[in-house]
Amino acid sequence: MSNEKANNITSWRNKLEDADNLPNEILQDKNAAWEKLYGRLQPEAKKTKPVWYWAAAACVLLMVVIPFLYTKINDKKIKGSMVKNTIQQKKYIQPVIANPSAEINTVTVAIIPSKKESIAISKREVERNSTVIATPANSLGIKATIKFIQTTPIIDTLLTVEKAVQVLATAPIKEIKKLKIVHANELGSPVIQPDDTHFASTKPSHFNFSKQFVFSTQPGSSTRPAISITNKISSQN
Amino acid sequence: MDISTLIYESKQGSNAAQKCLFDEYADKMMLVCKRYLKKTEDAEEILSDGFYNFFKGLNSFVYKNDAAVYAWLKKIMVNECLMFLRKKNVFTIMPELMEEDCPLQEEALDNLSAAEIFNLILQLPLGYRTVFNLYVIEGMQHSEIAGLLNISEGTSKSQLSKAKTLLQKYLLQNGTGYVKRKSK
Repeated sequence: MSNEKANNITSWRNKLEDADNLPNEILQDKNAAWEKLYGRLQPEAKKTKPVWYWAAAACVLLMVVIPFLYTKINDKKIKGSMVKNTIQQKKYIQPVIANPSAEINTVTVAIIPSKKESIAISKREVERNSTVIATPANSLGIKATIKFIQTTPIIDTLLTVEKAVQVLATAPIKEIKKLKIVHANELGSPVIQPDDTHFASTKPSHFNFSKQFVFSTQPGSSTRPAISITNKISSQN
Repeated sequence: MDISTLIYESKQGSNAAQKCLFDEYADKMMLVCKRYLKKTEDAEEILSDGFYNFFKGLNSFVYKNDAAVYAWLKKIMVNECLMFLRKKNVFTIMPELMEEDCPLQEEALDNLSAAEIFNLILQLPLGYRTVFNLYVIEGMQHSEIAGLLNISEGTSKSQLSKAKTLLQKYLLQNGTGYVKRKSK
């Protein structure tokens, strides 16, 4: 019975799948149906945007993104270089500190007692009270260290130490300009003013001054006047 | 032009090849849609949707033989029809018919022509018709039908049984011609 049923089912299936035997009221207007389908299929092709559209979009995107990224990268580079500098400086400064003979970053402060009554302070206290001072080396961002040398084992007070440090810190480092030494004879005919004081350091001499002889005394004789004037022309030696 | 060439050219985007494929299968697929849907307008809409999906998914299809093309296209159409029916909640409103004492004389159906069977199926209510189509024509199991239509397996069996009873009734109503043919 079940076999017969299965056969019946397959026979119906075959009959229904054979479209030639089926009624002809199938699709009324095949062309209209195709046109409708074709219309649905076509917009898909039109939706694809041309290459230049994507290229332009990419350009705009790059124009927006690149400056933003460039600024960010620059910031990172600056920060990185700063970090590198500090690391390099640390590396550089360590041997300098280790070497006591290096003078670039080491300021030697001589502590001189100002009074006879003095208080002895330990080296640790001195180190604690030492300050970092501004030196030309500090303009490069390098920390200068102060090295205290005790000239005498007994020093006055911490106040004097601090003052000494301050004086050294604020003292401008300048080369003393040496003036050219010119001898008196090199000046030519002397036009000597009466209050000229350089006679004191020269040998005893005489010269005319408004028909009068002027004598200068030898240096070192503090008891006698430096200049003596005689009115007599004839009394010339 | 054979089907394999049409499939290949359609994959390349040839509209002429696509039209040829449409002309080749449109009638057969329209019959499939008509078996599931009552209204011709609905069937035409589903036919259009089915062919649209067919051409869209053609690149992933590997041609083996003509029967495979037909089977794949038919499956697309059946799925489209079922989706359409599910949207309309056809399966939740299945009419309950009185059980009749006389069972379906399946031998009587054997003598019917394809057109006669087709017309009889069209007279069935949508719920019965769908289960009958899926079980008898598509050869699905009740479990599969239950999964597809979101109904229980028992409901599927009862729907099929009622569909057969109704067909028997139609046979009797339409005249004794069928039975006479059988007796001859």
